[in-house]
Amino acid sequence: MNIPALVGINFGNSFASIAVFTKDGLAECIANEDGERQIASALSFFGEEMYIGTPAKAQLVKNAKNTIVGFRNLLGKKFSEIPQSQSPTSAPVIQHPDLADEPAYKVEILQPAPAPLPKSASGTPAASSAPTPRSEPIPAERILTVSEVTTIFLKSLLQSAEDFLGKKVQGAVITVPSIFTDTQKDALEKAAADAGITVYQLLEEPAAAAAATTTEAWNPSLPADRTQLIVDVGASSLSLSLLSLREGLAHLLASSSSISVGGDAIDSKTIAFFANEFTKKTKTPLTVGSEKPSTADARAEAKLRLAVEHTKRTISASPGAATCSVESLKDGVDFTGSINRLRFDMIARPIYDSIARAVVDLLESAKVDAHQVDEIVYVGGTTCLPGLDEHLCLTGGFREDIDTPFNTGTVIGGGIGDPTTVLARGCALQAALIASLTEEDAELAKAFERGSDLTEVKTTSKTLGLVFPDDSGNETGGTWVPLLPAETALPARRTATFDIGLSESSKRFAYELWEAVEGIRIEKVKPERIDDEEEEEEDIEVKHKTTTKETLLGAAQAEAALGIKVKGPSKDAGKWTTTVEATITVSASGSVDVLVKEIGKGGAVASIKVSAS
Amino acid sequence: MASIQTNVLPKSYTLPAASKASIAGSSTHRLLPVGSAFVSHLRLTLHHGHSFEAHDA
Ligand SMILES: Nc1ncnc2c1ncn2[C@@H]1O[C@H](COP(=O)(O)OP(=O)(O)OP(=O)(O)O)[C@@H](O)[C@H]1O
Ligand SMILES: [Mg+2]
Repeated sequence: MNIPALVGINFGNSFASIAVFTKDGLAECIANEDGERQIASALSFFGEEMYIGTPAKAQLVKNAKNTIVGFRNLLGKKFSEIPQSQSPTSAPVIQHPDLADEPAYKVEILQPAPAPLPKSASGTPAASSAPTPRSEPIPAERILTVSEVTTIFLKSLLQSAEDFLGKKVQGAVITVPSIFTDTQKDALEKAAADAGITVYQLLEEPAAAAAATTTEAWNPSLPADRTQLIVDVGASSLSLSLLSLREGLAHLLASSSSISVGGDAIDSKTIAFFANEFTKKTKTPLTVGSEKPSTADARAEAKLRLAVEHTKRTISASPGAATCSVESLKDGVDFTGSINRLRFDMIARPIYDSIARAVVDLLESAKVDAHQVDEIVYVGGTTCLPGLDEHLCLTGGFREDIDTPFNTGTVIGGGIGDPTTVLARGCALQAALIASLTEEDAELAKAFERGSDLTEVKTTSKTLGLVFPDDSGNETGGTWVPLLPAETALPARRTATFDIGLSESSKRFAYELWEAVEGIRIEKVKPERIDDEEEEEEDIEVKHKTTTKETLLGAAQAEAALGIKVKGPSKDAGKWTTTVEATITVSASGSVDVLVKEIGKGGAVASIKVSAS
Repeated sequence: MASIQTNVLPKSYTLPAASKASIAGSSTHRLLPVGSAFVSHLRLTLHHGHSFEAHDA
């Protein structure tokens, strides 16, 4: 198998994942040597050993002070900019002993003892052939900068990819949070370069999601023109992006992010629940979430935190109850508890609510009605929870037929909608795209560099479409044929094929080019009265999409030359029609050309030209 | 049969007078630099002077 060695790396603050480009437009997440696809962003030192990923995270229980987590978000920051945690549950961030205002970690390690001096090879018979006993390793301190930690971690990801591919990686695209400053991006780029990675692009997380969701493989039943909401909920952050997707071109309409909403908050509530169960069952007192916990409580809490990671994944994967088991949770007493989805969702409800509120706020700020959102894409581990999707769909005011990967059934079993794989796969696809650019594209390749002006575009603000006037008396005064939706990047060209009605006596057809605004009309509907119910029920709001014509830009008419009379048993029998192709072209300056042409030789043409203002 | 089918033009319909209007002011955005559509967009704007005809040729 000769696949190009291109990888996508999702470098999260809590977890990372790696994807490789497989074949025509496909990418897959791979497991590292521990069998993990979600690789904890953690590094731990124990004696002479260094652990990376999930085994490192496990060290948080017994070896917290030598275990480094949360380093990604510190990249490119000065020591003085980092708030100091009062009761660190992992290796604390310290001021580097030699570098000014540089954050670092200090860990205790054991250094291998210096190798014994090599024996002289000069034929003198040795006094004894027994090996020299190895001397004891020496305790030492090791100082690592945030950048060094990142380099070690990224190097291990690269190694996992190369082990999988069986060859050197040619290039990679790595995610970066949208909120990273240029300094932070520089720091990430440098750490990646130090790890030996050829970075084709640092891709902001929403863009990585767009790279995965604008491919054909994503969901062939979705229209190419749509408004997409990306909901990214990780361990310690929430980030929302509203995108306009127009035939594969994407731009951001609005975005927001907040910290402290995410999986960690759900964990805190869940471990409080299990700690309570433990105390009820075993009469062993256990307090979690306290500011100044006892050593035993702190260790029990760390164990529970690790254990609920598994519990949550079970809750996401199957509708049955999930267990949480910890050997010797406290005072040598074991614990096994269980929780069902209903209970879990009740516990997680406040977090679901915060996410739903953030969504409502974002749409409000963007002046987009939830009804106009066509698709929700989930990114980040916490969005694997089906309860969150249910909650958002129920309370967010979205259309009933809104597309989410849960509706589509692509979350379960590592399907294409699996929120934990979207970013890495998007990056791998992007790496393949950049690798496919040729010499001739040198100028074009600059567009993938950070801050390139080549990404700047003008976009339309209203929908352009044709009205074919008739006697129907409807709100548009005829048949409305939308050609180019609002929020489309210019220049743009679209075509549509349809049939125009003619009459026996006249083959004339005409159309008007209009600029229109798509909106929402809210209808209040009285709910059906249920007998025996005392209180007056509130009206139900039913939303309808509307199209309001705003500006007439032009009109044209022609005599159809290729009209045909519908024959046969169809209900349209006897009617006259002709098939046309309508093409609209809007230039970057805003001039518009419309061409409506009968399909076939000698077909009539009716066209309109509108100059730019 | 196409999915859209327009009705017969009323006999009395007269073409409206030519309008002087242009499309509403556009706004400026940054495209997310991803996907093959983005590359096509760049080819169109960088190599073909924004012209679809030149691009198709
Ligand atoms: N299948 C699952 N079901 C529920 N929660 C999950 C699942 N898989 C992972 N998680 C949770 O998702 C969170 C990690 O998400 P993700 O990998 O997106 O984090 P991140 O982006 O690195 O984090 P951060 O928000 O801190 O930047 C953790 O809280 C983890 O417990
Ligand atoms: Mg994240």
